[in-house]
Amino acid sequence: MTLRITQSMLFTRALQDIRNSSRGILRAQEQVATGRRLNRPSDDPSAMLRLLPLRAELQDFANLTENTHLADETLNAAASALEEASSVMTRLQELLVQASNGTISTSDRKSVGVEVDQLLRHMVGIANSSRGGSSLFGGTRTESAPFQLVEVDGRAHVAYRGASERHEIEVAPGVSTTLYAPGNQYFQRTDRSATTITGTTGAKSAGAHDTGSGYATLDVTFAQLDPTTLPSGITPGSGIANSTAVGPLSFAFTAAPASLSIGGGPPLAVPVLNGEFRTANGDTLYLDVATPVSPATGTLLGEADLSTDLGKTVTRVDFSTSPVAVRDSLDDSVLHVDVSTLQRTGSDVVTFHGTFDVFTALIAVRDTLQNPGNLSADESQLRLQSLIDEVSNAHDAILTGLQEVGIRGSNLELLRSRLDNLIASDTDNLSNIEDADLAETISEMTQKQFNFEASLQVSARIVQTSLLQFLR
Amino acid sequence: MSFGIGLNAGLKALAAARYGIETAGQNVANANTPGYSRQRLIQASAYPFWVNGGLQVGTGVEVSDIRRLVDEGIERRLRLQLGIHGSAEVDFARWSELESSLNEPAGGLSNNFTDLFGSLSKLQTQPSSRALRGGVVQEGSSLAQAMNELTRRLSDIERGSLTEIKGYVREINEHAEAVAKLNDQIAVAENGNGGSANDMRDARERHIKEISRLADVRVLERSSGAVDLQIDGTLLVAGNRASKLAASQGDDGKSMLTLAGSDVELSPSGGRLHGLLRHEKTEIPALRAKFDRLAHNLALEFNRIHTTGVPLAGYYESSLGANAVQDLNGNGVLGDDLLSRSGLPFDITAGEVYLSVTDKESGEIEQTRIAIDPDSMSLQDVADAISAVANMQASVDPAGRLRVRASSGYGFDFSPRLDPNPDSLGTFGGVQPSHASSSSGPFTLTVPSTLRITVDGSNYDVNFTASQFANPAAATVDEVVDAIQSNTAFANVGMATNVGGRLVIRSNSSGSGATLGLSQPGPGTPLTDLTLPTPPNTVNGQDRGVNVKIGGSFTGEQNGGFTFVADGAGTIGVTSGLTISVYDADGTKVATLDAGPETKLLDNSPIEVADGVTLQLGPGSLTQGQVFHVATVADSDTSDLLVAVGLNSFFHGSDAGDIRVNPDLATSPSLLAASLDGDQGNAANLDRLLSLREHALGSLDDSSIEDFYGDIVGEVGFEAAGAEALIYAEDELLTSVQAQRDSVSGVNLDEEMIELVKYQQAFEAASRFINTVNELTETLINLGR
Repeated sequence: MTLRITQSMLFTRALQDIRNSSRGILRAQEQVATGRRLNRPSDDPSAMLRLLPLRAELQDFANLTENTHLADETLNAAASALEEASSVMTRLQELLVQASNGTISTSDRKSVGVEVDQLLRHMVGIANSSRGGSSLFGGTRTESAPFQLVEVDGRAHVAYRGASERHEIEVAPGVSTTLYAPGNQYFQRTDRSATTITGTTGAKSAGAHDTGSGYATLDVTFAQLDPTTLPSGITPGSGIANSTAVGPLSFAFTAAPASLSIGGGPPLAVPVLNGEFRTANGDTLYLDVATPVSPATGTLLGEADLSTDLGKTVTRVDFSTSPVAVRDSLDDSVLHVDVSTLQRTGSDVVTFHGTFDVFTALIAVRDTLQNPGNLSADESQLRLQSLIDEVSNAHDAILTGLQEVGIRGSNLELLRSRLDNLIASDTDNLSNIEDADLAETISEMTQKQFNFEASLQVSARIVQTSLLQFLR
Repeated sequence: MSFGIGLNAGLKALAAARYGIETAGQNVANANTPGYSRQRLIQASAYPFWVNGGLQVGTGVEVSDIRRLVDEGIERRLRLQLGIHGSAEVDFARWSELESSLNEPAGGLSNNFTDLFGSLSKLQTQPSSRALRGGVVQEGSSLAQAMNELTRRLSDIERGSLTEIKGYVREINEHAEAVAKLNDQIAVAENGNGGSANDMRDARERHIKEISRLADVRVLERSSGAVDLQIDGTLLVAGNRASKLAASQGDDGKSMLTLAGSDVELSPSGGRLHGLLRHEKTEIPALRAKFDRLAHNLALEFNRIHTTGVPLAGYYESSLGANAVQDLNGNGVLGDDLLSRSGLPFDITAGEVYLSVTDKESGEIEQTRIAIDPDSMSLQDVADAISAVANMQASVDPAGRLRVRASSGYGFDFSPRLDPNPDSLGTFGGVQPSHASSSSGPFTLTVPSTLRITVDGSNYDVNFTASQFANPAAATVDEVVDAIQSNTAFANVGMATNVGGRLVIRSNSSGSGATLGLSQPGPGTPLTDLTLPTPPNTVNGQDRGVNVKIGGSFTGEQNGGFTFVADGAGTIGVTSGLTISVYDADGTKVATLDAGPETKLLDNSPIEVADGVTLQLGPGSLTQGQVFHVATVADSDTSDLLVAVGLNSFFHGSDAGDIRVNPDLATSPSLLAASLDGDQGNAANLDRLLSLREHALGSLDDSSIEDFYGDIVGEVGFEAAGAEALIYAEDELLTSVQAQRDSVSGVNLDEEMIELVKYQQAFEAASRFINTVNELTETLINLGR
């Protein structure tokens, strides 16, 4: 259809065009002013759907970056604590070399012992170090000091009271790092091997799984004569408790002249009160003997008490079962003893090989130097020399820990650069989605402005034109 | 022929030219009057008369009408377009309003979500920090408040609609009144004299268009020239009578449009009223429902995790539910309604709840399973079940909320943690001698039969009879336990119990001197039937029992338990070949642990058994078959009971309008359940809360909480963008229809100028004609002189 054009149409059209152009200019101006292409969801709803998760992810990454800083600081604190522990161990090694030199006097040894005692307490302090109120070496139990020095009757033991779970935080998407590790990994890392029992009693390690650590003393004392094994005529003498022979002991009674031999030892004239009978091995047994002894031959059983905690808890040995588990009340550890060759009382040294952790080594060195058990000078010398290796092993455990912390630190470095890359690429993506391309927006705006001005001019021109101007 | 005829024709021509000039003048004058239709002079030559029997002589011009130039079809389309445009205008305004309520991407809920999860992740680094805990509570509150605020804004918009609608109704009523009045006048003016009441019709059309903009009307013209108007099939104007529209609040709280005095609801299908009603009744409620769903599921999922966590102290001492049951059965008693019909804001399903009671002094934990069936249990039954647990009290308070309290010296929680010391009865290498069945029930037991239990040399005969069992051929462990315990003489010196589905008989006396033996003196062979060891089977107790320590955290997905069974007799760490078998809840063997000389179980560091559960043993001896059980809980509340009653929840409320953070958490942030095992550095529950961020939730159309929110934003964005595009399109269309109307009815000044010139010339010509006739007449008169 042919359209009649009327004046009001011209005006309406002009108005509509001006409105459209100014709307475009407004939009362009908003984009330039905010620098953003997306100022409300309706600007580009589908871009909005990508924008929100991307922003959340970026925020996540920012949190993770913060976590890496925290982990970094904590790792640094742990590393410096371990370095300090390592220097304590170096000092201990120096002192040990100095003390194991045969020329050092007993009093000098004691004063070195005092220094080692201070090192021990310092080491416990290091292991309990904390940062911002959280223990560095307590695993997830961050609120309390993880290591506790327990001293009873001059015997010391360091117990781990921390958690066995690592306290971990996320440092990259899906990657966690340990913030607080269980400290027994560093300070009590051991590689247990066989236990040895050295001494004169004849007790042997059963080769079972023992749980003690460092050095221990196995005390074997005479308990009693098994009454069921006593023939008529033989009763324990008044000094029976001083007897040194334990285990099955053969006896032989000779009627004339009346004499009794124990354990193949020299015969003693009987009857006798509290007679000191010696076995072929030289161990003693105090017996009251009346004649006649019947039966004339047989086997007595000297029962023994075993203890590893200075007699606080004793385990009675009746030689019917072997091995025997001996429990230490101090640290609740267990030593399994093969008693099949046990033959005399005495104190044996138990060495839990491979279990010298930092604390055990310090305690062993201190105790050897201060010598509460009155070991002979030679014995002390020997023990100090054997401890040099153990101390060096314990030191190695600290150094390994230090290395591990270092590796974690460099991993963190890698993770952080990965995180930075992720942040950079997300920021790029985000910018692509929401940021206005200024050059483009401004040129667009200029173009719209041009359109606007053009439409104003054209409108102005058209509405002026009318027949009226030509009719006079 | 007379000169009179000529003068007459001249006179008519003069009049016609004058009418033409006046019509053009009217058109020019109204060129800018809205709704004005240009008018045209309709003229025709007058009838001729005959002279000399055949010759016809014209008698000039006749003006027959001054007519409006109107195309009724275009007018109808314009009215329709005005309605569509009005509706689109409202649509655009509403969606822009809703869109700006969301305040995205600058500062909407998306930031609150990010901040909340960010604060959780920060707390993860130092779970015991009071300040960081406060941060989580703060961010949670901000999120809840933002949701409340959003809901409030949406309901404000929704409620504001009625006021707007009432305003439009008043406008419509005024216009309808005017149409009715004009109808009357037009009918009077046009009836009988055949002319058309042009300007009144224009005015009426203007009123009708105003109505069309607000609500679409159907226009029916009667033969009298009057029009009837219909809205949604109901007469608004009939001839000279106009009815009144009325807007009121309906029973559903939403606006209702009726004719005054009628209760039939009208729903116009176009116009602003249409847009307003559609938004109020459909779009805004749908949007609000989505936010309610988001808030409901946020609270549900957050609380599911939070209610089963452990606070900083390692336990709760007392707790009061946030949600009260209602007395729906109307008997005046609160708490006796079945859980499925008690008006709680979250649904409870059949399942189980694990309650852990901690002895603060010893740190000993006792875990109890409470079965929940919403179709047979009331809240009071739940309280009773909790009270039945040692050192726990629970009640329904006068308001209908569940109150749970631990006795002094004890604490409780509902976490899925592992019981670190599961062998509290000492049935696994304990100090008391014990025997266990080698398989789990049910057993095929012959009755009557007699089981002889010899405790420290004394015999106790337990007689099994048919009446003690539902079916002796399938005697359950619990039935056997009850039958043995019913021998009170034995119950004083020993006990029978169910450990992980196995029958355990234990003496009460301890130490290496204590003995326990089992025999079957007849009748029957209960030892064989119950898979207990046959004689000789006398076992001794020991002076120090085996210390059992469970650690780690269960990573499996099903609630169940591990049963640990000694495969032989011997000393842990000594006897070669000694092993311990581990069975899961289905009886499948999941691990065999070496307890011989090479065992690691005695070491400082715990050994993982399966699914994250670790075991450490102390030294001691085991008897073949000895057993202990540890419950492995993946979800310690499969019933959602805790969420429904609001016990130790993070969020209170259940929709976007009433969601808020548990006020107890704001006053004491240490109640925030960050841990799963009570260690202050344990952040396992925070891990669970954080993983919620990635979880696709079935209740949210398989999207995560944030994605669901993002979808809402996207949807509103799409709607707003669509509404914007639509309003521009409708604008163009309206302009184009208006242009069409203008092209028919509008005034073109140039045209009118030409008309003016035309009629001016005609006037001059007619004057000349009259002059000529006059001169001729004068000549004739002078002839006669």
